[in-house]
Amino acid sequence: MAFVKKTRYLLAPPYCKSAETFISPILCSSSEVLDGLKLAGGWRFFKNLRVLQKKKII
Amino acid sequence: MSTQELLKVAKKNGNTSLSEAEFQINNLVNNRPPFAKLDMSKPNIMGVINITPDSFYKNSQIDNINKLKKHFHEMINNGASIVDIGGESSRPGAEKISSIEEINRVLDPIKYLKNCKEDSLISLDSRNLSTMKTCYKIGVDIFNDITAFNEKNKIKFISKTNTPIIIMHMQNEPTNMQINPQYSFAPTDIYNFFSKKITNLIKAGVRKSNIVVDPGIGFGKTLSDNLNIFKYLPLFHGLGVPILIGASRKSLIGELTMKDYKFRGKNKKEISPSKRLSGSLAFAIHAYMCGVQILRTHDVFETNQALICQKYLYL
Repeated sequence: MAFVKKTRYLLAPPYCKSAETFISPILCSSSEVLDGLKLAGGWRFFKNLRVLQKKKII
Repeated sequence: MSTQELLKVAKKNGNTSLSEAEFQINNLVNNRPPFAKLDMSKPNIMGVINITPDSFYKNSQIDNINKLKKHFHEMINNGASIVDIGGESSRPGAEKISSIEEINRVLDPIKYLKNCKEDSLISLDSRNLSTMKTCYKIGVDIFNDITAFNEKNKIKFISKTNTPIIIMHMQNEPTNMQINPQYSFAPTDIYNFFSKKITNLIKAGVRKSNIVVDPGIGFGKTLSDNLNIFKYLPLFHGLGVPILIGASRKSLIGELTMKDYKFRGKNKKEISPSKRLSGSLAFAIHAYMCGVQILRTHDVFETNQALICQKYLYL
């Protein structure tokens, strides 16, 4: 099983050749964010993202 | 990191990175078109009906037409917009049955449900092309395949008939899926699986608006894999298609409960599916708060009630 390390910094530049980048929105309700984005035209909102990176095996 | 920050950092890395970041953010934000005419801007409940003698949750097993009628109308009245009918059990260790046997089990029940002319949609839970073909003729609205349409002929059929589909992730087969499942990190591995699958389906002529993804809780996953999928559920919105989640009465609820018993020094051998309703509702509420568009459940009334309460409390 992989060890997932939580860090404030990116492992590599996002979407670069050496690492896969995934983004997961940090969700909240409309009242919690004033200038948030609507998730998939639905009922949840987000402003910030959790970025996940995984080294590519080249 | 905010969306603006991500775009800024990606831009520094060149145009390819920037367009990839924009593509991902657009996938998160873009409205989902209706799926099988269902509104994907609100949660939808899918009720489960098993025409099987060996499904893992005995109360969901239907063995006569009166029970089917009662179950179906209750589900519709209580808020199900889709009813998912299956004739083959996919519980861990279940053996494959022939498509003839499967068709014999589901054909009359589906005919009955279609004749009811209710508003709800009928989805067929099957991995057999011949069952799909037979049930398509009698008006099934959605195909739900645990093998994610792993055969060219199945893809050709759904592309030709333009039928909405649910693609589920499963490692191996139901007979051996729970024997040492392996992932580098389940949420991202499954994300990549779906990403490739969606690209291939679109290339084969399937419309993106006809695709829903189901990460397949309990299908070739350990307890920790299942929990990671739930913790990172919003990630799957990056695929740009609606998400379905089915954790109803599944073994992870029993496993978590037993862990707690063990922690408290108490001995408990098993938490049977009949004792897993509260856990099912907790997972359904979590999925709802993660923006999941379709919730698959055995307990339509209870799930709908939990969502209503959650909606008035937090949204």
